[in-house]
Amino acid sequence: MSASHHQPRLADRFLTRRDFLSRCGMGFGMLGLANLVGPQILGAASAPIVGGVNANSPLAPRAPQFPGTAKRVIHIFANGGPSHVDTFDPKPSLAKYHGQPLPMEYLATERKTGAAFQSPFKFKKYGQSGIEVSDLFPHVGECIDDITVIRSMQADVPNHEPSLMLMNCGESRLPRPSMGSWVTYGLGTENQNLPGFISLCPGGYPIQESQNWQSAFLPGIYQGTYINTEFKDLEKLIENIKNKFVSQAEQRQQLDLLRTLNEQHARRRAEDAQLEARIQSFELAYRMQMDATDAFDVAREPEAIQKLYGSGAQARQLLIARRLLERGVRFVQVWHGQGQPWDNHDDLEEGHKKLALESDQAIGALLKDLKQRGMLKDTLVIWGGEFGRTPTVELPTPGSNAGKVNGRDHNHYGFSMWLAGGGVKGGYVHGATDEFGFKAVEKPVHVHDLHATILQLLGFDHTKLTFRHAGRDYRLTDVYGEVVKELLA
Amino acid sequence: MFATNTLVLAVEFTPEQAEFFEAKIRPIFVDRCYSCHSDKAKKLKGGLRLDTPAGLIKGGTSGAMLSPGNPNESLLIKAVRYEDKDLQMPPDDDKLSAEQIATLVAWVKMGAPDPRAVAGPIPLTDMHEARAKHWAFQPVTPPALPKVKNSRWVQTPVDNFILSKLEQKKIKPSAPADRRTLIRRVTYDLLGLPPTPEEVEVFINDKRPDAYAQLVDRLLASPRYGERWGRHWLDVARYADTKGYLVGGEERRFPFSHTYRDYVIRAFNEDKPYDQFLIEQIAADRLALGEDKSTLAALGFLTLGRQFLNNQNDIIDDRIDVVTRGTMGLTVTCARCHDHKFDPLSTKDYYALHGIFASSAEPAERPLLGVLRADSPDYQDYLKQRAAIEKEIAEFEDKEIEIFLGDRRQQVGEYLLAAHEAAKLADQSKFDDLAGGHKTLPELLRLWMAALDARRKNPDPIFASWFQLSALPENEFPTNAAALLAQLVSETNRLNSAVWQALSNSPPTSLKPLAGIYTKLFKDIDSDWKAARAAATKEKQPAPTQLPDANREELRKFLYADGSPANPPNAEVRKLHARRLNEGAAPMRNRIEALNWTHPGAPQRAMALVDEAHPHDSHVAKRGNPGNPGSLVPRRFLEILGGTQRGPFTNGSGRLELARAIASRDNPLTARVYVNRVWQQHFGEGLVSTAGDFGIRTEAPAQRDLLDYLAADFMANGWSTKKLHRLILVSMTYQESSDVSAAATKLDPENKLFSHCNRQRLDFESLRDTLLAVSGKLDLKMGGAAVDLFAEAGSTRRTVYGLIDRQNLPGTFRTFDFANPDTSNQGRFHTTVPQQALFMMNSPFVIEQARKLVLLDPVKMAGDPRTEIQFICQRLFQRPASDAELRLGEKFLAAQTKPSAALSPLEKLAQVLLLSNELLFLD
Repeated sequence: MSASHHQPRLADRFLTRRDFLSRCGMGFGMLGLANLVGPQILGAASAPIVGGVNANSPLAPRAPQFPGTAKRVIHIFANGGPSHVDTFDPKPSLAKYHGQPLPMEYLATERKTGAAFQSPFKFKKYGQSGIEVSDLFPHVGECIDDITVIRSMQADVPNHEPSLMLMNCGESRLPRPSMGSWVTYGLGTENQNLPGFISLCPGGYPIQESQNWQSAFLPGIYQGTYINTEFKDLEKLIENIKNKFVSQAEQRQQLDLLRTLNEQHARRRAEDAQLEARIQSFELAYRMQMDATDAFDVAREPEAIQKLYGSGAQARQLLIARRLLERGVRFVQVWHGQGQPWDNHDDLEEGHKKLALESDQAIGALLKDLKQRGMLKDTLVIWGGEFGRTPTVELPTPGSNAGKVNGRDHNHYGFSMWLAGGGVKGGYVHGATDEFGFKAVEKPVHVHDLHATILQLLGFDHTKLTFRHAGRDYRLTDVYGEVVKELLA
Repeated sequence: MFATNTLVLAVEFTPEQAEFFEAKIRPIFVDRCYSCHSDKAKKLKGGLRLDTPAGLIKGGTSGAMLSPGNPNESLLIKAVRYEDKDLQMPPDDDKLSAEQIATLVAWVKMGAPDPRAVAGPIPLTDMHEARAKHWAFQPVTPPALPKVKNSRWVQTPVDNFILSKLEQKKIKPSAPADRRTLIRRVTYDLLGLPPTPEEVEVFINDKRPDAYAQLVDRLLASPRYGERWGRHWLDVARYADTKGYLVGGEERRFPFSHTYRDYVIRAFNEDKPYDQFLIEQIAADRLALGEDKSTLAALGFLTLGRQFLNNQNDIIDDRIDVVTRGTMGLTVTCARCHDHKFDPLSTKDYYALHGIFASSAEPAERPLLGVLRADSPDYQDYLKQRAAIEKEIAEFEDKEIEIFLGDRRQQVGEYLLAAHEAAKLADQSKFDDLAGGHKTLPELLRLWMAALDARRKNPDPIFASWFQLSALPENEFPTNAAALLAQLVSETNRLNSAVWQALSNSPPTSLKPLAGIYTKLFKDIDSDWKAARAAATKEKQPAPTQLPDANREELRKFLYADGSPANPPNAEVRKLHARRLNEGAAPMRNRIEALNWTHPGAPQRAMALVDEAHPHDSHVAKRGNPGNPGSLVPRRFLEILGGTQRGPFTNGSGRLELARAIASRDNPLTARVYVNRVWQQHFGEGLVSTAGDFGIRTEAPAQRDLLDYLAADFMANGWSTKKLHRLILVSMTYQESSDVSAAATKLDPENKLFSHCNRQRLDFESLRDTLLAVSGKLDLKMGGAAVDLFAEAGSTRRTVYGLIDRQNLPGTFRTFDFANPDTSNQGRFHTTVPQQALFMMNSPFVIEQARKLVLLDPVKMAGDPRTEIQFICQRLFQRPASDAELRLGEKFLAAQTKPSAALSPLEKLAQVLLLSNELLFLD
């Protein structure tokens, strides 16, 4: 059912507002969702019970508009802007012009760039598909037959902040809900004992901080839960997850008494769903304490799996991510690190080598691991940055680079991202940049198009996943976006 | 189902007909027509849209397209049949199949049912039509009081409206709430805090006939009232204490955001007339304020939004939004890129307001709020501390500039070489690239080129050799350089001997080594000079003024003389080195900012706005793009409210005129929007459910007359919020119990007619304040800089004084549905999620309150568990515990056989009671 500007609210036809609110356990604004999820849960006499809850919770799992091929998402964010011509988009012509100006009109990027800069890395064909990947990502290369590489990504501007906002929230400047918030709003989450949308980043925030996983005008519960994976202590990972004062058994006694008192309180009053919802929330919270402990404890993984992922922060957080996905978390974002690690304006060779070495094995392991568990088919894996980098060398600018003339500037005209699992084609390359990798020229895919496609994979028409705010029905893709059908298997 | 005064397409259809349209008709439209007749069309043809039900009915430039029931009369059918030579659709002999045509004919015969149009309101963007038809644009006139049968029930006019509707529907209002419930409800409602058990007892036993009205008056007089209701307004004002995302370590806190928060709290406590309240928040700087400038703090309403990395158009957009949606329920910012899709608001309206805010600016020095006590020791100390930091900044900058210049002195050869090549550059657009390639700065390179050109004109002892040799063709350099140099020495009697010596020590074979020789020579000179100065300092000698050797001194002078390209003026260096200077000084500047809001002597200043000296109109930005300007529009009020004859604003930016046009009795929206917000806060549901949108898509409320009565009465009473509270609170409607009868649930399941009171849940502020109040720890200090609520030893002040960081809003705020600090709020969400429960179960804050609660004297002196429980129950719920509850409590205490080291059994019990639904929900 459509929820466009011109439609009445379906909720009005199937059940009363109050009825609806009590079922959804929340206030206004959610009515957009009523259109979306339709009568299957709202009209049902008893809401489906999944994971121990019914539709009383705003996070209760919900069916999408149509059956999607992806049920959950992991977005591996190589923040800072990985260079496509050094990773997934080989450009032999750069070697020919190395050290010379490129025979083309230079496009304006954030800073001045000079001569052509050939990739210091070698490319090699992988898999049946023979797609070329540089020697930065051999483990990812091994999985290439499960991957769609988009070589024609485009964003709007060559600056980190707006591009991060665009990639995450579909809007460069104004506060809008992030993709993970939209997805959790649309689908709820499968495991009520864990947050539905989790953002992992070791060491602190990326640039633009928690705005990257903001819920903006959606209810706060759809905001990503930030977890600093540098910490190993669970209490530091999730707020209030542990009680430092009493044992679990003692807390159980407390909650039993609380339940009795609350039930007596409810009995003295007419039936009221919000009272019942809160009684349930304590039981959920109690279970959450245990499930969260378990989910973040990677030491419980068999040695072979730990070995597969390797060591280091990336391995650890990707393994945590897999455990979260396995437990039903809807959307996990995994950031490479605090700030903008992939932003190699200087020392690109050294920098990219280090960053790839930190992450390649673990990303490859994640793909293999998901596959062997039968999860890859309905888990959408996304890898990429907020933009790519120039095929030309960045010139010195005091204060903004070290003036070594061995790095690349930002490039939003063309860059690569890849998707795997969740119903995307394997061993497929989509689109292309020009001869040198400056600009997407074949089948360009704008970030809005990527968002439309991701929602499609999850079972949503991106024009119909909307939320009424300030007099308007907002969506992740605003007024843009076309589904890239060629990516769908 | 929708209001009659919005245009409605009341096309009747059966489910089968809907199915027919979806399966047969829509696909034809999509495949064959949309490419020219929908919003997907590159250019809409013939003004006709088939992708909206409205378009279908309206038709295009050729007129109505459908004559429902009469295919032969319908233009659509004529066109697809190719009946008329001039109207053949789809065009170019691409006729539909006979079957498709037959399908369309069948559909028109049915009456052309369009299920997309289920009673949906269509846009009313035409000014005259909108003004004539939309309920919210009609003038506010007080409706007559409806007659009711049960007149004994009526306490205030509010009840006439409520009861008459209930009587019509034959719904019996709920019985009055008991006094205990009522005092708890109204105390939380007005103060956000629980009543004390003593206050409850007094009220229960108050036999005066107006005991309840007296209670309401007492509560309205409490300073706690402003803290509670001021916060509601801060939700509308999207208040926060920080600027949002900023780069480069800039201080994110607003220095004086709290002065606005405190102004709002004060305004509610003083019952400042709402019209005055609005005028001050929009244009206090344009009012004659006299000695006391404290009112200027009101302008924080405009200035305390997100700063969008200083993007002025986004800042203005945010201000337009908070003003129009916050005060009038108009979504004017929808018209930033195109005319509003539903409401009669055009881009011209938007840019008329844009001009007003673009002609307003934050003053470089924020105005003082109070009278400055220049001689007070606190202020003197503040000045001293501030001067100390400013000195640090100056020293830092001097050092940085010296480092920058020092680095340049090491680069003489690079600049010579780059200048040499740049002079030959054909394509000047590559100048910066060339400079970069030599690791030189384009701006300095230009200085160098100019200086070298000047020196070339006369025999130059320093650079003559460079000039001569660099003129040599590259292939002749190795063979001819030495001879040329020799000739140069013999011919000129004044070649700097230090240069000559350097050249003869290692004769250059090409230009690059020659440049290297210059670099090295000047490096040596500079280090000699530094050594000489260092030695003098060490031996406490006066600093040297020159190098002893005249030739070397000549070179030193080149490095240090004014006007030399190697020694650019400070102002130039500041520009070139701005980033480093700013970033490096940021921590020190942040300390000044911090001093501004922590030092007791720091003068309080307003986050003010002032009119610019030369106010100017704005151009319409086509499609929202300022690079694509459309017509210039005068600064003036919105057309739908001001009328087509409204004049331009002429007083400065026009903000004061805008403020007066909003806070006007003639404005049909302002009072309606406000009384609706107040009602929503009292009852948990507004009369109008979308508090921030009174546009076309918002249907007239079921209680429209009541809304109008409240609005008219509010204005007649001098826009007094407290009088409005009284009118509502003393009504029987407000005093109803929250018990709902089966009959009422059936007849009015949404309680739109208010046959009973809605059960409400404490918001985060009330919950946290309550925990502190019952534990005896609540600090009632008012006002001042924001405090950190979530630090290890967090503040125990009221939640309204907590720091709100809009960029990284604390998780607890978010979990508990706190207001969105980025946009004007029309109410809070009400979610129930386990993270809220985790906070109650595990956070040190809640456990601390449980501990403090059992440390209170009456508990300590109770002597037996029953008395302890009895006291806690009274304190939390203001009622005695039942026998059953006492037994449960005793059982719980007795079961704690292995008492935990950290929490006593009674503390655990106290925590359970703090977690109970009875504490959180108000009947």
